[in-house]
Order: sequence, then structure tokens, then C-alpha cells
Amino acid sequence: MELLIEQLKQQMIEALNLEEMTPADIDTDAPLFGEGLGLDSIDALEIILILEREYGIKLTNASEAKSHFKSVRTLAEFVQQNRTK
Amino acid sequence: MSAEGWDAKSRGNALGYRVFGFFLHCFGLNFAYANLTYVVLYFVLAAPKQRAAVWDYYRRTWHYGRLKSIWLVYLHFYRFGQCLVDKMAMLHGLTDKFTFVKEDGYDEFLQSLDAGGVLMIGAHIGAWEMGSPFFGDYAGRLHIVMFDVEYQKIKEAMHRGEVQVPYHIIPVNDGELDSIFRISEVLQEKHYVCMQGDRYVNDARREHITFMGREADFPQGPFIVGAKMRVPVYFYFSMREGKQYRFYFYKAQSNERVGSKAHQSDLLRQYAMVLEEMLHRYPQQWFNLYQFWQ
Repeated sequence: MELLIEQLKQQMIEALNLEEMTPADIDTDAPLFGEGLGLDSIDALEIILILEREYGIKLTNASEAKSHFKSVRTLAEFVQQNRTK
Repeated sequence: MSAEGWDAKSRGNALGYRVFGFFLHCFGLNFAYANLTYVVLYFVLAAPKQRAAVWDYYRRTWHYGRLKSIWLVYLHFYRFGQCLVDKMAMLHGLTDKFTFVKEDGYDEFLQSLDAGGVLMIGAHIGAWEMGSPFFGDYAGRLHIVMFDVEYQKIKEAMHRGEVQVPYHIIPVNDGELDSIFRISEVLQEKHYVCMQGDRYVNDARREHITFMGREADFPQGPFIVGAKMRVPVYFYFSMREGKQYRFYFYKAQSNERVGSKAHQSDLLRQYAMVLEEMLHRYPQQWFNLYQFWQ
């Protein structure tokens, strides 16, 4: 799980152009949106595309998706349970 | 100095919609148009921000003189009122009162709809809603992205049984994620998403370009979605010509790397070019009634 968390952080840094950040700067349990990392809905789209491209996960239930996007940890748990590659 | 941007509020209230709904049902479309003459006069006087925006549009974008601009401001509000009445008539099921004309590009557009997910980017010009009955069976797979404040008005009217909406709505609030999840979901289900490309509420997500010879900011969101989601992108406009609406469909083409920042900017550049063309054809149907230009 820790490896997956680091991998996700690195992928987010690259896709979201968080150039001044390193994986260590991202708190695994901090909220991704609003407070915490301060991402917005367009960044959420980038993360949706990371899940699809890197892990073969297509979000099919928009109402449930929000709960998986709370933090890097919830995202990693979701990826671990649903990845197809 | 930046433009103030749209404040995510719309004028008009439920009573006004109900009164005009009553006019439409009991006395018909022409009676509703006739009543606009004094309603519009009230709005010209009582809506200073909107009036100033339209004044600015004619004086500084079109460089018209003062006298002509005074007349055009009134006429502009009247055209806006006519389009609102038409939209209400459509929502009340009076589609047979209008005729529809398709411009070139419609067949290719239909082929794209048949093939799968499509992103349509419109604007606050004309009356895009007039297309929904015209889309026929396709309307059931059409999802309109609109600001929550506008959605609530339609929702209330639907609850009162006053209107029927043939399409789905994805409400959007600045800072909330639900809409982007929903957009992604419906495009994957090979449905169609329609959003407006000429208003932003998120200051951090806007792009500055020259539009109609003046500096303006456009939202990045619709063009990022267009660049990233790997679906055909169409610019769609429904323009009023009396009781006839003409539909325009322009397919965006880009040689930039799919999903890149350059791709996103290229989509916006094409969109702005087509929108300028529309404004030259229909100058009185620009309904972004706030200080759009800097």
C-alpha cells in the first residue's frame, strides 16, 4: 500500500503540474480538495484520467466517487480494490 | 485590471416566469412578445449593471454612436426577452410554433452522436435550449451543465408542473466535485454533455485572449474537458431568426498533442473565432449581460 501511495503522489505531481512539490510534501491523510492540498474540480478530472490510464479504473458511479477522492489514502485504497492493471 | 466576471446570479423571478407562462397558454406567443415592450423598459431602467454591459458592448465593441446605442440597448433587451419567451414556450411544449433550420455540419454531428460521447460547447448567445426538442430521441442522452442557481429555477418550475425538460441537467457549483464526476461518467456512457464556454466563476481557471478586438477572459474548464476526455468536440449555437431557429455545428479540429495545454488553448482559440463569426451575424443576440470585456 505504501508503494502505491508514493506512486499516486508522484503521478499527481506530474499530471497536476505541482512542480515545486515532492511526494513527501503531500500529507497522505489530508483532504485533496478545498483545504489541504487545495485541488479543484479540474484537478479531479486529471486524477480520474490517472486512474483510467494507469490502473484501468473507469468511474461508473459519480455519487460514490467523491468518497474515494477524499485523500491520497482513500484514493490508494480505492485503486487497490479496483485496479485492472 | 480584470473584469468583474459573472457573479453566478441571474435576474428574473418565479412570478415573472409564471405570468409569462400564463400569457403563453391563454393568449399565445404574439401576446407574450407584445407584453415584452413594457417589461423590457422596466428592466432597462431597473438593471443598471446589465444595461451598462450592453451599452459598453455597443459603444466599445461595435463603436456605435450614443443615439444608435441607446436604441440598440433597448432592442437588445427586447431580443433577450423574446429568446426567454421562446425558451419558455418550448418548455411549455409549444414547439410547433417554431421552425428549425440546420446548417452544414449537421450530418457529421449526428454521426458523432451515433458513435458515442460528444462534448458540445455553446455560449450565452441565441437560445441553445431551443435545440432540445429538435434533437428528438437524442435529447434523452443530452446532459446540460448549468450553474446551480439556474438549475434551481427550472427545478422549481418542474415541481410545479409548469415545464417539461426533455434533457438531463448537471448542476455545477464552484468548488464542488460532483459535476466533474458526473460529466466524466456520462461521457464514458457515450452520452452527450453540453456546456457553455463563455463564463467563468473560478478566477484561477480562466484564459485571457483577444475577442472581438478587446481583451477578455474565458473559462478554461470546458476546453480542458474537451482536450482531456478524448471525445469529439462541437461548438453548437442556436440562433433566432424571427420564429425560426438556425442551428450551427462546428467540429473542433486540432493538431496539438491530445490532452496538452496547447490542445486546450487551440480549442479555445477555435471557439472564440466561431463565436466572433456568430456575433457578426447576430450582434443583438449576445446575452452575456455582465461586464465581459476588460
